[in-house]
Amino acid sequence: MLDIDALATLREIMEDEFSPLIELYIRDSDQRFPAMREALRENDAEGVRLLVHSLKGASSNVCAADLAEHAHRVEQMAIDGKVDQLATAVDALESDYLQVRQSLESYITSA
Amino acid sequence: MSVRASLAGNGQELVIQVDGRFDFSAHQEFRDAYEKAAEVRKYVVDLGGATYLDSSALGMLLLLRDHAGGDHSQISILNCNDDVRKILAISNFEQLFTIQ
Amino acid sequence: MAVYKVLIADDNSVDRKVLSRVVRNQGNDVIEATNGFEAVDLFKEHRPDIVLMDVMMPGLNGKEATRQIKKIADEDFIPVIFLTSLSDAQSLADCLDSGGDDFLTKPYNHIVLQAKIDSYHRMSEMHRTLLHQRDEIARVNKHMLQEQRVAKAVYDNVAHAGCLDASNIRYELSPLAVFNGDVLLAARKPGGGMHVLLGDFTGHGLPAAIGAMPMADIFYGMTAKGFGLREVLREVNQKLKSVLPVGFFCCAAAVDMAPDRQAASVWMGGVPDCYLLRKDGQMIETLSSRHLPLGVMSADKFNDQMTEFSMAMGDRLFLWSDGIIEARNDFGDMFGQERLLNVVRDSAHANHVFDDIQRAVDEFVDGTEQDDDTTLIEVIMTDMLEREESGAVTKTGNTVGPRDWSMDYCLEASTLQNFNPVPLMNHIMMEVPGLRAIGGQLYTVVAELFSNAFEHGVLGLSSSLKQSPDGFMAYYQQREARVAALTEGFVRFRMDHTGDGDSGVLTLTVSDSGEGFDYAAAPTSDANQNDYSGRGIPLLRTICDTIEYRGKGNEVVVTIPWPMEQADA
Repeated sequence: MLDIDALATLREIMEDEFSPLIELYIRDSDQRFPAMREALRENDAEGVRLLVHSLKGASSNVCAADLAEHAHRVEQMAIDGKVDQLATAVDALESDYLQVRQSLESYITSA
Repeated sequence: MSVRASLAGNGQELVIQVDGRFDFSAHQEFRDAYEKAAEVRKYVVDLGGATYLDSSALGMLLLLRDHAGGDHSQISILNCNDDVRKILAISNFEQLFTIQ
Repeated sequence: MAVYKVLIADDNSVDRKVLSRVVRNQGNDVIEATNGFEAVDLFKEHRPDIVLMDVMMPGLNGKEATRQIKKIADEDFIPVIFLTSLSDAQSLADCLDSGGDDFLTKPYNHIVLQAKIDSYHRMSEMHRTLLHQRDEIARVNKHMLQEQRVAKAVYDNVAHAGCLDASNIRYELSPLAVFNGDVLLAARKPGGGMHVLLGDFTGHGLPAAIGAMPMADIFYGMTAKGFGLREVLREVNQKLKSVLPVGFFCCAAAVDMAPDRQAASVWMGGVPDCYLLRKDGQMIETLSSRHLPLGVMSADKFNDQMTEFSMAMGDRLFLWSDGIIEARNDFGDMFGQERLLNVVRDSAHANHVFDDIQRAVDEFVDGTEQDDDTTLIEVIMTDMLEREESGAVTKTGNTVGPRDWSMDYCLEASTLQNFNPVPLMNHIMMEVPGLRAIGGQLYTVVAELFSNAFEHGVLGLSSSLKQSPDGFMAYYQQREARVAALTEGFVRFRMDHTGDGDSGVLTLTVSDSGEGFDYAAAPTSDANQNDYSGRGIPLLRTICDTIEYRGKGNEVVVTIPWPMEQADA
């Protein structure tokens, strides 16, 4: 779920900014899911797409490649305008994210 | 255009061959051809492959003559085609060079 | 390693932080923008060296921000690298279309990232150098053009002091000719007639033109002082030999137009064949180069021998530099001597030859760019040449100057071999204001008397030789030989002048060491075949009040009163 080797490299690069970065990631991402649902309610597929796109980029940066890949699929769904499937997809994406979040939190505290 | 130099006569004769258009673009090569050669007494400029000659080429020949000792120089110009021969004749270069 | 200023624009804070950290770790300064608008503002404020731009940003997206940044950057090359997770070719191509220079796909490879930053930095350095050099070239070029304009003005003042606008001359000389090395000079001789010189310096540009300055200066100065063309050419040759580097020289054709003897003396060195066209247009004589160009031979080896051609009134001479012969058409063929000769031969009338040549060359080259100038001059023999433009001195003019004076001047053999005293004599007479108005006539008198004394007296040449064109040649050949062999003899001038400032009389006595001649037996009319007429006496009679031979005929005294009451001037 997390590429531990890559995460170690990122930690080396970021040094003291590593924990703040992870915290920033979590803070940003936490906000994205309510925002996605809000956009869904307004039938705003493009809005969903931008949010998922950001999640994808950020996730790949914190070495959550699987989550990024998952976000990519949802993004494609938004691009294709499959609005009816998006609600379920966002839920699935969020549960994936929550697992990543948990792993990241324990990675920071353990370190 | 190309300039080739070779030594003959036990290294005392320098043969400079100029092919193509003998004009200002040959300046450096022509100069190099004789300035690098030491101990040379006679010079032969072979224009058999030269298609054209302009006034800067005449100037280069005068420079060679100067280098070779001016009035005491021994320089032959060989194998000129009709056009080249005419240009040399107009300038009366046969007074300064042996033209064959 | 140099520190670059890098602007990172990305709305995704995690992405931005990571990238920013990586770029800073590599030793660069980083400016962060969280959206497109901020990116444009920060760009204006900080002028970064390179921009890393996220494509998808809310508000102003990456592509649009890039367009604005490129516009602000204007001529400066500011590389913009798009940050993208896009992977399809069309999207990437769109990025580059909007003005981006490259892209970097997420997740970033740090090594590739730094390599790109370095490489784009090198490119912008190169671009900066290029712009700098371009501006420098533009500046230098502007400066050069300015210098050329000044040089041209100076040149014009020197070279166009002459009489190229005389009615018997037509010429074509490109306005840029001074920088291609072609020169045309024409000057009236004080005794009547004209010197004309067409020169073609080796090479192009300013180096070629620069030699024209001393040449024009000598040509005009010496001609005005009454020196012969041979002396002018000798001086020009010596000057060019001393100032031009080896290998640089001037091909030239020089003509001494002498309407009094209906002849032209021509000196040609290194110029193509020129033509003499008879008045009726039927006969064409070819004049060929017989000498090395000017500036090649040292003074002692210079050959100043001229070729004499008889030229009746209305005969015309065409001279050109090799630019016409070597004019090229689109296929690279040269116009050539033969085409030129055909044009001259086929011309309907002698009057049309000049235009026909111009037209034929123009049609031949048909707009093809030429390496060389096509300089062309036509000189017609007319009696107008005989009269100098009348001087500014009037009868009531300046009365200051020598009034009563005399001088003796004797030239011995070694001096006579290579020195022409006529300009010096002329110079002394010209000190008298009243004589300046008739300077041309006086010059003629002195020149005639001197050449009689020297050529017939000292050298013992017979003037009867000069009666036929062939004889002319023989005469000058003999003259050459005898001058070279001269060991004794003299020519003596004596001048006596009396005057009151408003009028005066000049008495000129010329004697020589020669055998003299039987002047008493010489009839004064119908004297074509005898020595007396050969000595140009009829011409002198039109100018001098009295002409008297003395002794055995080796002394002549002429008187010239001024002001002259002639109406035929």
